[in-house]
Amino acid sequence: MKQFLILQVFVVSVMAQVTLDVKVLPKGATIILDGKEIGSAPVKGYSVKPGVHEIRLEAKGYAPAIHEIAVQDAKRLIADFIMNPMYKIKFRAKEKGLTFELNGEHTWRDEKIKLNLEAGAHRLRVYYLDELFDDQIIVADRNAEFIYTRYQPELGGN
Amino acid sequence: MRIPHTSFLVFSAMFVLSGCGYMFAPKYSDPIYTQRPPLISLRYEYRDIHIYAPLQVVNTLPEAYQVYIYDKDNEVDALFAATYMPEEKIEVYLPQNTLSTDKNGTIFVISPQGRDMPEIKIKFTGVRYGDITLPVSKIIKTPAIVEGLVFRRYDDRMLGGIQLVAADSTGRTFYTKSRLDGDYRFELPNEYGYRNDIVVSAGVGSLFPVVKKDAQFNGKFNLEMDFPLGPSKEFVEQGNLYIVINNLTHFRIASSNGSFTPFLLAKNDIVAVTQVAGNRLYGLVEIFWSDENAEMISGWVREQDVIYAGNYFMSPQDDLELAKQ
Repeated sequence: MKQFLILQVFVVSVMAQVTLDVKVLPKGATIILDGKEIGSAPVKGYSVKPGVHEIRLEAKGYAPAIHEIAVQDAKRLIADFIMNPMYKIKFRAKEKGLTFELNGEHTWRDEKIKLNLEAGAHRLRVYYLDELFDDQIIVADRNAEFIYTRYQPELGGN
Repeated sequence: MRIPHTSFLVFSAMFVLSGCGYMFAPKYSDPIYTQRPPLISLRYEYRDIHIYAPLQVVNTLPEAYQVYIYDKDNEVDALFAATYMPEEKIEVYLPQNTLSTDKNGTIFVISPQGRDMPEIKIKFTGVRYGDITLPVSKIIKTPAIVEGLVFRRYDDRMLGGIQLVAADSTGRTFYTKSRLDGDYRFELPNEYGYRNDIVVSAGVGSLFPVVKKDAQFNGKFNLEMDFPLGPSKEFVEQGNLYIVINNLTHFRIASSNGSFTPFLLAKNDIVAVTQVAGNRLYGLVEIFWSDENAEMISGWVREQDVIYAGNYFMSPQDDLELAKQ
């Protein structure tokens, strides 16, 4: 009886494997599944059991990504990822004495600084003498120089 | 000393003021993330569940088949529903994991479209994926069923092995025998459900007088008809029982030859004899107007037209050897 149960559990666990293919942009990104490195992208034919799994992706010049996948019982799961690139931004302010804060957690007072920003929108808050002086969204979409000027809403309208 | 060209000096100044101006700028220590999840696309490839339901169509041709698949716990919302033409194979493809894998947890329903064809329900055990071949389903029109009990009228004892015959007005006949518990059942072709010319006879070939009844279907497909056979208890107590052995036996009002014959007796009719005069026997015959309603009529028969029945109609044991005559 015990042997039968063990056999049954074995059969069910073997039957319930799902073939996982992972493709990542950029190619060659390191794929870590549930804490174990399974290879460099693309990975094909890796077997996983249905259930929740954590995939972590790492590649030089890209923001590391962590994603949880609830793998369904299926023949194959093809997962495609596009990682977010990191951009080198040269930041420069024309005024002195300002404090800059990005995304609520990164702060500096330098007029010129080199930043390593993930592609996408970032919230820039500027303080002058500890008072909020400006609040705007900046978008990193390439390696570039960013010259800070205070946000001034357009006047007029209908 | 050679003085550099003016344009070279201007170019160098611009270089220092722009790009090279960051040469000594500090670098922020940490990369700054947006916490934006990566773009992701998940595509599943599923295996199939393939179900094949073979059919055997008997003397009918449905217009179509409605096919449904239900989970046994929800016979309202079908997991699958489709119409199949008669020439199509009934095959169903479902995605992996759509069926319960509980034992007999899924119901496959085939509903032939047309008159008098009953729905077929097949319970089966689902699989995660793969092939399922269901048992062959017989598509047949609803039969006209006559069923009931055959028992001895004397003591209500069930009679097994009694031959029953159903005959229509054209002479087409169907045969069955009662089982040991007295049950019998005719499954007549569907069209008899709309006819009223069927006569069912019980006791054919036995020592019991044959009892005949009309099977009046009138569009119904199930008739119950019981057949009490043999004489009543009251009749048995009237005298010794004799069985008529010849058809067209005269049952006279007096013992003399040529006396009036109100009716003729048939083979296997029973006479309860109370008096004997030479080779003439006087007694009663029992005529049934219905199962419960009978009348006893007295008269005379010749000795050579009857045989002593002993206690056959009252015996505690079935005597099928005697019944086979």
